[in-house]
Amino acid sequence: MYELSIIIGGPQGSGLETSASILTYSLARSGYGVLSDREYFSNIKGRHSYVHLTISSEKIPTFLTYPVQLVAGLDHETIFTHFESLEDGGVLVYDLYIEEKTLDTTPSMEEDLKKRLNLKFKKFGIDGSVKSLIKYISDVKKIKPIGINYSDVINEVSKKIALPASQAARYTSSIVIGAVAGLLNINKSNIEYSLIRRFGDRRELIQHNKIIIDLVYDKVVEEHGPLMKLERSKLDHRELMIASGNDVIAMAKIVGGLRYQSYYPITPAADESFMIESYEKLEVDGKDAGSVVVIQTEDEIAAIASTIGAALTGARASTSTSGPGFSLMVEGLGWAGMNEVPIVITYYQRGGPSTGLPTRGSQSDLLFTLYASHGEFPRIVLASGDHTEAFYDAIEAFNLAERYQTPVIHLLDKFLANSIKTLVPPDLSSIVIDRGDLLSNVSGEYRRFDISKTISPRAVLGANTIMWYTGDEHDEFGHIDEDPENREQMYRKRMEKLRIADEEIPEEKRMYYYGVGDEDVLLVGWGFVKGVAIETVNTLYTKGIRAGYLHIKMFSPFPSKSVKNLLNRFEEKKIIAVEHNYLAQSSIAVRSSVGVEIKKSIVKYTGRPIYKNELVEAVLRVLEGEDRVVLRYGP
Amino acid sequence: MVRKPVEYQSDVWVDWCPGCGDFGILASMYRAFSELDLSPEKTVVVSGIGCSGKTPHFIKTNGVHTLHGRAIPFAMGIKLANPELTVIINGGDGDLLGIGIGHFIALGRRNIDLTIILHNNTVYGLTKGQASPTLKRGLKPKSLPKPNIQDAVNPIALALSSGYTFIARGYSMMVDHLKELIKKAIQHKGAAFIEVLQPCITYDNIHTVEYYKKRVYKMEDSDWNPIVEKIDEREDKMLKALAKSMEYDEKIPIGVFYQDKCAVSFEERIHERIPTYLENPPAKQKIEQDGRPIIDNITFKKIFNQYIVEVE
Amino acid sequence: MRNLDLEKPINCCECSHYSIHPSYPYLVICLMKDQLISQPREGCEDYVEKNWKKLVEVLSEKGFLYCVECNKPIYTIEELTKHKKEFIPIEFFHDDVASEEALAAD
Repeated sequence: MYELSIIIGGPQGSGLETSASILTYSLARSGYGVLSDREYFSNIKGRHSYVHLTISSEKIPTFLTYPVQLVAGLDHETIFTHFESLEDGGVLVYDLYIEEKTLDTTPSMEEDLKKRLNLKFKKFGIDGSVKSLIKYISDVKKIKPIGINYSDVINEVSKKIALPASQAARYTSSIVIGAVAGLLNINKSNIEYSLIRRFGDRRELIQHNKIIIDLVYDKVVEEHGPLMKLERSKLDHRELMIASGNDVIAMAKIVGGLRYQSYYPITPAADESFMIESYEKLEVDGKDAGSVVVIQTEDEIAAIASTIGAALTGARASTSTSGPGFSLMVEGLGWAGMNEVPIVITYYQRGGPSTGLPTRGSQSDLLFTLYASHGEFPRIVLASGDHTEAFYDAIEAFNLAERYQTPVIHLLDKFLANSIKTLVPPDLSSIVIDRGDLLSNVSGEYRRFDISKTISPRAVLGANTIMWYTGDEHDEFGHIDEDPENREQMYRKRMEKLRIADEEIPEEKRMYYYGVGDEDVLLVGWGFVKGVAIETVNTLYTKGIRAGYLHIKMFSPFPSKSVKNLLNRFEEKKIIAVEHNYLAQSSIAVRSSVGVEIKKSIVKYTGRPIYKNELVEAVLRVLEGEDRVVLRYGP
Repeated sequence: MVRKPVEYQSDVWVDWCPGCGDFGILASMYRAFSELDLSPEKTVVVSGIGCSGKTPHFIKTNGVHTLHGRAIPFAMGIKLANPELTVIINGGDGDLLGIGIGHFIALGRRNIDLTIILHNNTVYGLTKGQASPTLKRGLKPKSLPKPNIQDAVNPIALALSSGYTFIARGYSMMVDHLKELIKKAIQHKGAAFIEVLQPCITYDNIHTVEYYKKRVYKMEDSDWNPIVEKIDEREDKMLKALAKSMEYDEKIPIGVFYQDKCAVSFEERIHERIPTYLENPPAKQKIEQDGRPIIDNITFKKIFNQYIVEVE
Repeated sequence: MRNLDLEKPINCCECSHYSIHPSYPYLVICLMKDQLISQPREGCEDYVEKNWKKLVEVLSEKGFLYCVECNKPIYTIEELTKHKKEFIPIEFFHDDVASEEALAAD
C-alpha cells in the first residue's frame, strides 16, 4: 500500500496519545509521511477519543479521509463508534474480552449516538453486542477481525518481567502499537528508536513496552501476516520534524524573537504556551541564546494587557488564546490599536458560541477577528493553512506588527493546533526579522505619535526619552486631546497604516492559487481547509473535473485585486466557498472586499474536520446544481 | 543634582475640580519622586480610568493611561519585560477594587515590585458619583438617589490577605506624610499598596476634609512596628495589621500597616529559573543580527532536537 | 487685622474673606459679605489682610493650593510667590447641589 488511513481509539487518558506518538515516530523514522488528527471530548478521563491518521509512502499527507483501512481499539466504544468508518475488506483489531459488551454497558457513549446505533443494529439484525456486530461486519463488509485477549497478553508479560499485573496493565495501549506496527510491517528497530525517543533514560519503560509490542507484533504477523504492508517510502527526506500546530507556533515564536508571552489556560491554545515555557531558557552548547518570560495570568484580560505592557518596552510580545478568551481581550485589542502597539494574538478557533465545543475545531471566528472592538483601527488578520505556513506566518506576524505598529491576529484552528504532522524542518536562512521604525536613541523632544509620519518612529519605555499613552484620543505626545482637527488627523494617521500595509505587502503572499490555469471550477477556502481542498482538487482532476483552489491567507488587508481577477475568470455557479462554519464567512469577507458574491458553499460545523471523501462528493453535488452542501461526516 | 518636584510637573493643565484630594496625591508624588531623584526615562506611571486615570498626564515621566480596571496587568507586562523600570500605578477605588479587583488580588499573589496608589474617594466621580466598592452600606452621598445597598470592601484587609508585602494608608491632605509612604513603597522590593483617603469635593458630602480631619491619626505616633524583619514575625504582624484594618469609624489610622522585608519578589523568582533574567530581561535582548533571527538552522535543530527524527 | 485707613484702596486678593465656588471656579465670593466680587473694592470695613503665613502653612500640609485666576494648582512656595497678587483661597467649600449639574464624563 502507498497510502493508508487508520483509526486508533480508546477511553481518554488510557495511553492513546503515547501510542499514537510512538507510532508516528516509528513511521517517520521509516521515512513515511503522517498527518494525524486528534478527536477528543471536553473531559480528562474516560470518554471516547481517537486518533485518525493518514500515512503515505509517497508524500507528506495534507488531508484526512474515510473510509479507513484499519481500526484498532482499546475498548468496545471504539468498535461501536468506528465500525462504519471501516472500508469493506478492512481490518479491526480489538480485545476479545469485550465481545459480550453492548451499547447498554457503554455508559460513556452519548445517548444520541446510542439511539442512532440502536436503529441501525435493529435494521441489520445485530443484537447489540460487540460479538454480534463483528459477525455482521465480517459477513457483510468482509472485514477481518483480529481479536487479541489483551488480559492474557498483560498476564503473560507480567510474569515475564516479574511485574505485578496491576502495574503491567498500564502498558495495555502498547498492544495496539504492536498490532498496528505488525500489520503495517514497521521495522522493529524503528519502534525501539521511538520508545527511546519517547522515554529517554527511563529504561524500564522502554524495556517493558518493547516486550509487549514485540510479543503482539510477532503474534499478529505469525497469524495474519503483514496484512497492510506499506511500500517502502519514496520520500527522500533525511530528517523529519514531528510537531503539532501548537508546537510549530511555539518554535516559530521563539525563532521570531518572542520574549514575553502571557496566557490564560484554554483549549486548544494552552499547549503552545506550555511548550514555550519549557523552552524559557534557551541554551545552545552551554551558551545563552536568550530567554522568554511566560506568565499565566488571572484571566485573558490580564493576558492581553500585560502583553501590551511588555510590547511598550520593546520586547516582542504575544498572547495565545481561543474564542472565549479573545472575547475577553477585545477591549485590550482596541487599546493596542489606538496606541499603535505591536502585539501578536495567536487565535486558535474552536466551536462556539460560548464554550461551544471546547475540544472540537471550527472556523467560525473570522468575522469576529475582522471586526472585534468598538471604534475603528487598522489590524492585520493572518490565517495559516497548514503547519509549515503557520511556522513562517507566526514569525511574519511579529514583523508586520512592528512594521505597521498595530495588533496582528494570527488565526488558526483546533484542527491545526492538535493535529500532528511529519514535516520537513523549516529553513531559517530566508527568515527576516523586521522591527520596523524602532528608535534606539532619541535626540530632542520625542513625540510618540509624530503626525508628520503616518508610521511614527517608535521609541520604547525605558529608552532615553519619555512618552505618554492613553486610550483616549491623543495629541502627538500621547496626551488626551479632544480637538476635532487633531481627532481627524490622528484618526486618519492610524487608518492610513492599513492602506500602506495593503500597498507594501505583496498580494501573492496574501493569497495562493493552486491550479495549472485551465480550471473552470474554483474552490475558495482558508485555514485548515487548504490541505483537503488541494487533495480534493487533485482527485477531481482524475475524474475529469478541472478544479482549482484559492487559498486566502490574509483577510486584512485583503488581497482584493488578485482575488477579484481570479474570481472573474470563473463562472459564478462554479465558485464554491469551503469552510468550517455556517455562514461561509470568507465569502462574506470576499463580498465586502471585492464586491463579488460567492453563491455556492460547502460548509461543515460539526466540529470535525472536512474529509476528502465528503468534499469530493460535495463538489460533484454542487456542480450538479446544489447551492449549499452541509457536511456531517465523522464521529 | 537632585531633580526638584517642579521638574516632574508636565505642561498639561490639571482638570480636576479645584480643591480635589487628587491634587494632594499628585503633590506627594512630585515630592517623593524628587526626593528619590527618579529618572523620568526609567519611571512609568500607569493608570486606569476615571479622575485618577489622568494622573500620568500631569507627571513628566513616562505615562501609560490604560483601560478601566486593567492598570495592574499593563504595569505587570511593563515591569516584567524591563525590571529596571520603576513602575507606579494610580487607580481609583472603582477601578482597582471594582472592575479590576481580580488583578488586584493576583498582584498580591505574585509580589511583583510595583507600587499601587489607590485614590479612595468612595464614589465614581467622572460618571456622576455612583457608589464605589469602598462606600459603606447605608450611606447616601448627595449624588446617590438611594442609600448604598452593597457592603464595602476593606482595602487594607484585602491587600493583606492577597499577599501584598507593603501595605499603608495615607491621607491626601497630609502631603508630607503621604510622600514618605510613597517613597517607602517605591523603595520596597515587592508589591506595595497605599490606600489614600481622598475627599471628592463634588460628589461626596460625607467624607469631607472636615470628616477626615476629625478622625485621621498616625499609627507611628504610638508604639507600632509593622515591619517583618524575620520570617517568624509574619503571622503576628499580619494579624495585628488585620486587626488595625478594622478600625475605620471614629478613628482612622494612617501610616504603614505591614511590611514584609523577607518576601521574595516575583522578579527574583523568575531570576531563579532564568539566571540571565535581571541583567538581560525581555526588553533588552537582541533578537536579530543584521535582520536575521539569532537562531539559525543548526541552532534550531539543537534546541528542538526532541521534535526531529533522522530518517533511517 | 482690620484695616483702619478706609481711604486706602482695598485689595480683595489680599483679604482672607473669600473663597471660590467649586463649580464656578472663576467666581470669587466674599464670605463676609456673602457677595460675589468682581473687582477689588475701596475702603472695605471687613478687610482682613490675608495671612501669608497661613497660606504657606496650608501649602506645606496639604501640598497644594489653587489659584482661582489662573485656574492652576500651586505646589511650591516659589509658585505661590508668583501668584501672590491673585485669588488663592485657603478652603474650598462644598456645594450640595454642585453634583446635580455635573455631567457623566467617562
